[in-house]
Amino acid sequence: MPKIKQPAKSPHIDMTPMVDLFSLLLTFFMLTASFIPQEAAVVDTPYSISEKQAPNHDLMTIIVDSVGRTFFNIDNGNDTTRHIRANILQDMGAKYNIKFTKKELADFSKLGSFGTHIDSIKLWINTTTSAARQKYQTGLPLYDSTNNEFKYWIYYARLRNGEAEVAIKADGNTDYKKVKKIIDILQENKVNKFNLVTNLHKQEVTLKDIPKDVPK
Amino acid sequence: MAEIIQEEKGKKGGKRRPKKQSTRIDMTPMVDLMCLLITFFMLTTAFSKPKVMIITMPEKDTKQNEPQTKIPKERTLNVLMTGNDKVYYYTGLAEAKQPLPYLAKSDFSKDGIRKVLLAKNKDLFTKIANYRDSVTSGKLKIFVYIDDSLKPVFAREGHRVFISADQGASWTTIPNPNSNPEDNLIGRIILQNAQNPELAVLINNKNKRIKKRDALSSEENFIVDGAIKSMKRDDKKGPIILIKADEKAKYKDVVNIIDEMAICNIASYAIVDISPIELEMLANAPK
Repeated sequence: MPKIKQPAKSPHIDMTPMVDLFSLLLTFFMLTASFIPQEAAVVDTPYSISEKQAPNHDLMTIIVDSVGRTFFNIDNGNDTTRHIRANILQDMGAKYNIKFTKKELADFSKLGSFGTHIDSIKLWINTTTSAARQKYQTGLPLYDSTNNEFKYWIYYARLRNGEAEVAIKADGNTDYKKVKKIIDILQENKVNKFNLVTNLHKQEVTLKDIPKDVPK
Repeated sequence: MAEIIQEEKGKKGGKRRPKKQSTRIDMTPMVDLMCLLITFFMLTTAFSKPKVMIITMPEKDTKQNEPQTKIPKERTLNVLMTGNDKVYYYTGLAEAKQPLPYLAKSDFSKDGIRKVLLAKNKDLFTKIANYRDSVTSGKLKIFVYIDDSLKPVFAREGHRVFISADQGASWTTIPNPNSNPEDNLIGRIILQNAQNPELAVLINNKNKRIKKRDALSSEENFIVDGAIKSMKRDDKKGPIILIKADEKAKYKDVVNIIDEMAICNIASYAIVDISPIELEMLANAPK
């Protein structure tokens, strides 16, 4: 039998559909992208069934990592002309006799969470690379009775933005007493409602789950 | 890479024509770049906003002279946390010079502390579950407030606006006094509470029939949440949970137990400081 000769096929693949798909995906991701804000510490939050979402703006976030370092963040609010962050920094500067230049105040407004002693906050602001900046992120002093910067950050933040809610984003493995300390300081500043940041983990409990007797 | 350029052979001699250019463009670099960009955007996008659990703590600076709220002993369930996902509980009150209550050990699993809480909170949990069920099954019609003009009426004190199977009787419908007759024709009526005439709701009975489904609209959820809130507020028999954490407790333990409160629909609970007697009880508790 004669061999059937296969016509030589070009190894070229038509990439057009793939490119089409890719461009669609790319457009989608570019349009929906809201970037994950860079945070001072990696925090693994505990789970809960709550589906409530954190407010978009007017939010003070207190980040506590697993070793108990505390970081603070507040956004500029819906109306950025109020310059909330810059004003808070200026208040803190007046309190601790530190003068900030216009540029420093503007830079601070754009930065995120910080856990820097007030003495080194100038250095933190003026550092340009995020890796170098990390070195000043030692956590805000909490426990020291002579140095209660954290309390004043909260105080001035409350003064400058009265409607800001407080969110506590703590690592699940943080000692509760550390979080308790923060809650105590916040309560001294008349904050009694807290948003605890959690991961959603749905759980279904129905009538069938009710035991007949109280288990011993 | 993906394209192997085949050289055309043959046709030696003869007229030399301009080489026919392929209309195909090598898309490989473009695809490479797009892959990179997609990966970048996929990894940096924050899709879901963080979820939060709201907790309100009692105010700190209560006046010294003010008598503290006494809570009935038999309704109290104390939950003690001491890290390592362990949780202990006892009912009643631990007082010095009294026989100490039995401290039972439990955990955060499905059959752990949840069973205890569910058993204690059986009545309220059943009531809420039945209410939710009748709403989602469509047996109970939720009227959705639509009109903005009567918002002040609706937004009264605590949003105690709900119509449930057992409460339905106390609600009567009255014609909307402010509207023209045509409005009534298109189905607007006002509900008035028999006990509390001030509490009136504008409803729209033109609202579509509710079919069995899992998700409710945000307005419906608002009403359902309000109803559940007031069921919890009116609960006078359910357990009162006192959450106490010692030095070893982790933050996630406290979040877990507050979460259990939400799962089991516990009406009243509070985070309080642990007492020395309880610390002693924990030290002697079964490991």
